[in-house]
Amino acid sequence: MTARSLVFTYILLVVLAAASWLLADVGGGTAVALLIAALKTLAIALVFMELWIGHASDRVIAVVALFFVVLLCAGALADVVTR
Amino acid sequence: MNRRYHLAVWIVIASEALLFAGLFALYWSYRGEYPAAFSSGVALDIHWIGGLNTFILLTSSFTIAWSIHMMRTLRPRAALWSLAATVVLGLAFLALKLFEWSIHIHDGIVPGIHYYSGPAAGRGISLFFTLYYMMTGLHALHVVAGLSLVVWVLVRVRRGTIFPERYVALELVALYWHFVDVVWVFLWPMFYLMR
Amino acid sequence: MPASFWSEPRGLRSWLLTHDHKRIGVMYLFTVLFFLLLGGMFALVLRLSLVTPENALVSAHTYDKLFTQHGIVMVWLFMIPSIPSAFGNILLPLMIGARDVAFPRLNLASYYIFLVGGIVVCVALIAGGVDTGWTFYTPYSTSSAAATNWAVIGVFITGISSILTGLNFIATVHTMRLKGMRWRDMPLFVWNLYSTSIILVLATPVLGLVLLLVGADHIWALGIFEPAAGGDPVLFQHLFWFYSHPAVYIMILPAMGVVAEVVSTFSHRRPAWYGAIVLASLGIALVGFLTWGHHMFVAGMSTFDSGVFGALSMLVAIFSAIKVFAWVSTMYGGSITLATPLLYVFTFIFLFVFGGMSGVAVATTSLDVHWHDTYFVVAHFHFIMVGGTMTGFLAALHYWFPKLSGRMYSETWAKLACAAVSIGFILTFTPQFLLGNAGMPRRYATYPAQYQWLHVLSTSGACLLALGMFTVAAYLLYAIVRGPHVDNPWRSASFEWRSASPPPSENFVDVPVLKDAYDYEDVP
Repeated sequence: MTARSLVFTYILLVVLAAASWLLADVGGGTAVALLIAALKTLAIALVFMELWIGHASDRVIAVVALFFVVLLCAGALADVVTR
Repeated sequence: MNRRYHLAVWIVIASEALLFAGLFALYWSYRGEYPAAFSSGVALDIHWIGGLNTFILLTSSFTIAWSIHMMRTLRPRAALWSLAATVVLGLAFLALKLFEWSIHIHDGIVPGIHYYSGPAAGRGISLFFTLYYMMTGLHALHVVAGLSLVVWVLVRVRRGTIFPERYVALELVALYWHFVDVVWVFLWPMFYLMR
Repeated sequence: MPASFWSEPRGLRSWLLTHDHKRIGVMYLFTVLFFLLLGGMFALVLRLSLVTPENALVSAHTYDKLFTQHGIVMVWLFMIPSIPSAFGNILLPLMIGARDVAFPRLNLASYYIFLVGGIVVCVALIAGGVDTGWTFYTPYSTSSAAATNWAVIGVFITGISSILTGLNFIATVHTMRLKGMRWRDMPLFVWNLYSTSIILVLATPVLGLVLLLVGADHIWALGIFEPAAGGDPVLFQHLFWFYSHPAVYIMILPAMGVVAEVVSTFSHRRPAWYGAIVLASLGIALVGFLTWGHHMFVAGMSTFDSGVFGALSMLVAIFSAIKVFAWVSTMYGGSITLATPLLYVFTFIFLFVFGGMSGVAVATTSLDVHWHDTYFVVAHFHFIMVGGTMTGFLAALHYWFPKLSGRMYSETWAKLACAAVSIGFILTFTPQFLLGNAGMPRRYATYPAQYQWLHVLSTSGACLLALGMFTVAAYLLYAIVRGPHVDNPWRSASFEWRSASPPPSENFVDVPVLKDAYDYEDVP
């Protein structure tokens, strides 16, 4: 990654964090906070962890792992809220 | 040859993500059951520490990524400084965490159902704080592990066994460090913002 | 001719500190066989005690420990590691033309970690025994005797070994295939090991976490699943089964891989529907993760989740069925050699089909309400795990015995033992379907007198099964020292048979030339 992409990504991350902080005070809610967290994760994964320019297999591993994390949370949460 | 190590570290990261997944599932399930208790729990957390720690970890991800860039552009000394900054930031994170926990303990906010004697009451509040300690604790352990690896890499850069023609170990450790940052990126809203 | 990996390098130290995947696999093999014996002993005592309705042999509490310990030892110390860690380690590099796995020292570490975990579990057995059921359900597991903690720690440790093995296999398959071997050229056993490894690295950490929680709760009363503080024991089950359901695919996929190889070799034919089998293997690995709630239909889980998990559970049957059709297709029109490995595969296919169908049955929520926690479920999973994985393991043992030892066992005794194992199995577990359907609950030490005849049948079967297994051990041990020398008795085209039997340390003397692993037009 170029110096520029690294610096830009960092600035983006800080801006997103600040937005998250401010929105929480205003009462942004769960969805917004998680969405911003997801965007930050994407930035870190694609740029800092170089998934964007890296091997396809690394991307597959990341996506599959993410899918299973969400799956477990969704399965348990769905149970609790639909009882 | 390097491909093998890169792949292995990504598999380790995937495994670790699934390790945290169970705790995330517990948090979201219990939050679904006790939304009010979890909200009040979040309100009780020390927000400035959470925010500052987030900024610290994000910056440390930048500094370690920067150190790789310095290596690639044949500036190992600058890489060394960047790594040192990463270590300092990591230590600051841990110090703040311990400080934060000490405040909580002083207020009677401790893990375990029999021990909680904090301000908020109601079913689910002790679950919130037990999860808080478990998740930030497990995360902190990973910060310690990651920091140890960063220190190891830093020493090797200093000694010259990691250098611009061979810095795979630095890349791999950086990957792990970024993962530790990503976990915190989710812990922060879950425990400090979503009220 | 180079010396075999058994004798070169020499000395105990060279074994204990080996990097050779074949030696590590052999160490795993003997270790899991020991645990098979231990788990089998628990089962035998358990079955003997059930011969009379009042259970004259053991107390109810001892009975609890017997079925718990049978489960823990069999699941984590035999079933999970048996084919992948033993045969997988030995065969994977050979089958892709590599010298070793990607991380040989990590491989050795994974073995020692497994050994330590196994020893810690044994400590639990001695320190008073575990009585929670192998599933460690809360709240009992977090409040029961201290030995439970030892078992939890031991299993946690073996989990680390599993993850390391899976990581090694994935890295090996990605980066160490012989030059020119594309993914679609890989042997099916390798594809199945790869699919298994995906489950190993992704599911096991969840087990690790949930065991950590049980241990922590046991020691520090954290109460995370404690109803008194608003905790939910069903959430324990969600976390536990999220691992334990895919875990059963860790157990069956490698066995299916063995079946694919044996079917091909003994039909002297390329596997039919290679691509379908590959996709089915990956499909089973994926879909296995989507179905865990079908263990929790009557646990208090919502009807919504029950519906979703019940529906998703049906998907696995599709992939399993594709595989069965593919295997049968391969045999049809092939030149069949009716040797022991193939006989075990016949047993596998027969029992796996019935086991699988009973699985579809219990995955149907409305039916499972009747069968849950009865012997019906016990029969179902034993059909799959013993009828499936165990026969797959025996097939592997008999198929690769000549490869590993360079000798041949007595085919007559082998066929006799196969008959004993197959008939013994059917006699042990078919009555259990009837018992379960009639309402007999599992994990009960005593029962009403009208069920006795079914229990007596089951126990007789267990004795025959045990006899068969001991016979296998006997003639194999005999063959190691007295069997005739052979090299490739099955005339298999597969890559591992191109090196000597037993192979030398470095696997291949010269760099192997890429050839088709299933090219039977060339092999007479």
